[in-house]
Amino acid sequence: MNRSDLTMLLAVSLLTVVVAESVLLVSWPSELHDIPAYNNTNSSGQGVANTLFNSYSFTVVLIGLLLAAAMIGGIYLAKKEVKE
Amino acid sequence: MIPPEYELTLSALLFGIGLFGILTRRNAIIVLMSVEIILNAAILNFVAFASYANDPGGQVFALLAIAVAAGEAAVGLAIFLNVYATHGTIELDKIRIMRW
Repeated sequence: MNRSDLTMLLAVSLLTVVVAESVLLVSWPSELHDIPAYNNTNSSGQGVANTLFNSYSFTVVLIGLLLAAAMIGGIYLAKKEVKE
Repeated sequence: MIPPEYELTLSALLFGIGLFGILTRRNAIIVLMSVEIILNAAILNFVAFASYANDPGGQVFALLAIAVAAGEAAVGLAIFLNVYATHGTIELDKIRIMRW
């Protein structure tokens, strides 16, 4: 580890300490809520799956398109050109 | 249940580790891994605040961010494969041209 790396380590450590200290100085509430993965008691429940497929259904489709585009782009970038 | 201070402190620590990796490392794959660590720090913040605010939207966004990170890793690795084929190295200091 050279001198510039040590300087970076010092700067990043300082930043981490400042961020962690600012988090620790806030008085967070002690009661936390347990969010279920799926709530089948009603159709608009507070489950993760309910929210994902009710409120963010269009976003799920967009993410699917993004993953398909990433797959096609990755294959196109990584394929070797055949020399004739 | 884990208090939010612990999760947010861990998130700050992960962010610091990722930032240090980006700033100091020259290997492109290690830089990509550092970017992924920073993304994981943001995802951990999403989950922590979702539990704090009793809102499943944070966990939904965490899932979507994981999907975006997967796409980014796939495209990034393909780019580095192409760079290695053209330049013979993936050391970021030695890559000076955008096109071969």
